[in-house]
Amino acid sequence: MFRRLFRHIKEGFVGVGRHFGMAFSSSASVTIALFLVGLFLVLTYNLTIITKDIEQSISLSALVDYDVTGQGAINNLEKELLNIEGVKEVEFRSKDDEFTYYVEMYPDIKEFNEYYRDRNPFHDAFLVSVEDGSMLESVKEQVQKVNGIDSVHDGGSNTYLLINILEKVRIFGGILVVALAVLAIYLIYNTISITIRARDNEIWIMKNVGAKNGYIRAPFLVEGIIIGVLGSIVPIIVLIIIYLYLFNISNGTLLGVFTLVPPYPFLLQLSLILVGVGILVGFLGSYLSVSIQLRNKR
Amino acid sequence: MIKFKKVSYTYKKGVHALFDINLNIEDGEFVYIIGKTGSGKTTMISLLDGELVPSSGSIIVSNINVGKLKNSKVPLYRRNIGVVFQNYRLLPKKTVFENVAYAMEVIDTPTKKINQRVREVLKLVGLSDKYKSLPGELSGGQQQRVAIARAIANKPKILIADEPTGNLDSDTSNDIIALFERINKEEGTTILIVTHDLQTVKEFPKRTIELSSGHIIRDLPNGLVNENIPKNINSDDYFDTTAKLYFKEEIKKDENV
Ligand SMILES: Nc1ncnc2c1ncn2[C@@H]1O[C@H](COP(=O)(O)OP(=O)(O)O)[C@@H](O)[C@H]1O
Ligand SMILES: [Mg+2]
Repeated sequence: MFRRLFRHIKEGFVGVGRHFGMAFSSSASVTIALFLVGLFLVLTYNLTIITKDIEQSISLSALVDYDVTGQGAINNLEKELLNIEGVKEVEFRSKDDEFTYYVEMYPDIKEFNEYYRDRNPFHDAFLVSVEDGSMLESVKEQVQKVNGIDSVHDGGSNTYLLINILEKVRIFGGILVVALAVLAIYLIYNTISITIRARDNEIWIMKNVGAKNGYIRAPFLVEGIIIGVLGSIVPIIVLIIIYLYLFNISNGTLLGVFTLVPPYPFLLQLSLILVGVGILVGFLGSYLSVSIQLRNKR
Repeated sequence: MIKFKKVSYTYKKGVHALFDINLNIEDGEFVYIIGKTGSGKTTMISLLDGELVPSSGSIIVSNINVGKLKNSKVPLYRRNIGVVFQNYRLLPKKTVFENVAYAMEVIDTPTKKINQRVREVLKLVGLSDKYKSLPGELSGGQQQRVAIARAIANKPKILIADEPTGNLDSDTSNDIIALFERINKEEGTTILIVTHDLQTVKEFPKRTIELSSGHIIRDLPNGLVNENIPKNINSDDYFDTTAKLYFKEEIKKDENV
């Protein structure tokens, strides 16, 4: 069993060696594809984290009608808000709290404060935070409908726009990653097809003496996997260097506002993913190629 | 035992290559299959090898219905059959020994057994002293011997050769046929040789089955011994004689009805 496995692996390496030029150039193409895959993984992952950050920092401020007063009414309102789908937390702020907060924020306009102290213009309010940024809009609508709520305010439409753009970039990145992976599969498929044609005789002999398809296929799979893994090494190294560099010069932030994902364990995970993609892409590329070739002869 | 029962084969493009072939070959027999180019000889052995599936009828080999085999079972079936072709198909970078051993390695034979058996078959085909040579260093006849050694390395019950002497001069061809005879005797292998080299067939008389346009037109237990035949089966006068024979048979059949 191990002897056979060893033989397949050896044959795979021999295959790469025999068609070194081919293997090298397809590894190089795979390198470029995987580099882009890695780049977009880094980008989309950071964007995902940033989006989450933004979403989490957004909460709605629901102002209570002036005529809702008394602890009981407030409690009921709070319960009602908590029942809305997508609401994570509700925090009550009395109009006195709001007033104090305001006074502390703007200590300069003293007369104003003195004037309004007895006719507090603020509403009682609830700070409503949502489970997920994508629910922000629907939650807002629901809260607006609740009896006893005067109006609802949020961080403004710019936040939505940003979230929307980030979402689009992420989707685009995802599609690109898949497309690049398919491209890499195709590149390896081509290489293996050529090495198979070059080994036509061997396949013919193996078929004729009754070697099983799995046996015939194995060295080519190994060869494809080797090409895939080789193609993932350079992108991993380059991406690690770039990321560490950017992380250090920016002190771990993007534009000084958003925090970047810390290098460890993120870069390790990224490396494993890229090697995994390399293996998968190599496996699929050569599997398809050998299967089509083997189907030609029963 | 090999049994063809009403076997027909039509290629995908609509070429009818074989019609209603009925045939029995006993274990240990030595049989020639002759016929002009395009008469269906290669199609017949491809069916026997399990590479093609009959369009109708059935092929039974040692109680196995070859056409009904699942694709995954074909490799195991094929271990019972050795195949030799006109153009040897040796691996140029492997030595004689490695070429023969290869056939055993790829079906997971233990190394010790491989070493022993390769030596045995190389002795049988008379190439013991050439085991280190590369195919390129050998003559055509020697290369064909290596191919034959490889084909019998796994001790198949049946050995099929498609035009094995097609590229060889007549002396060398005779040597190769003599070798098949030896394998037939010493290993008890059933031998099927496709050829249109009638001189050799005459030299080593055996049961001879003749195909013409996808039909078996003759099945002669002692071959062509007493026939005055041209060397090349593809020549016009040969066709004339066999065509006449064939039509005579057909006329007889018609008269009997
Ligand atoms: N792959 C194929 N596709 C279509 N027709 C074929 C194919 N192989 C052989 N034939 C046709 O089938 C007939 C029998 O061919 P074949 O068995 O190769 O004859 P032989 O070996 O006696 O020369 C011929 O008419 C040939 O042209
Ligand atoms: Mg032929």
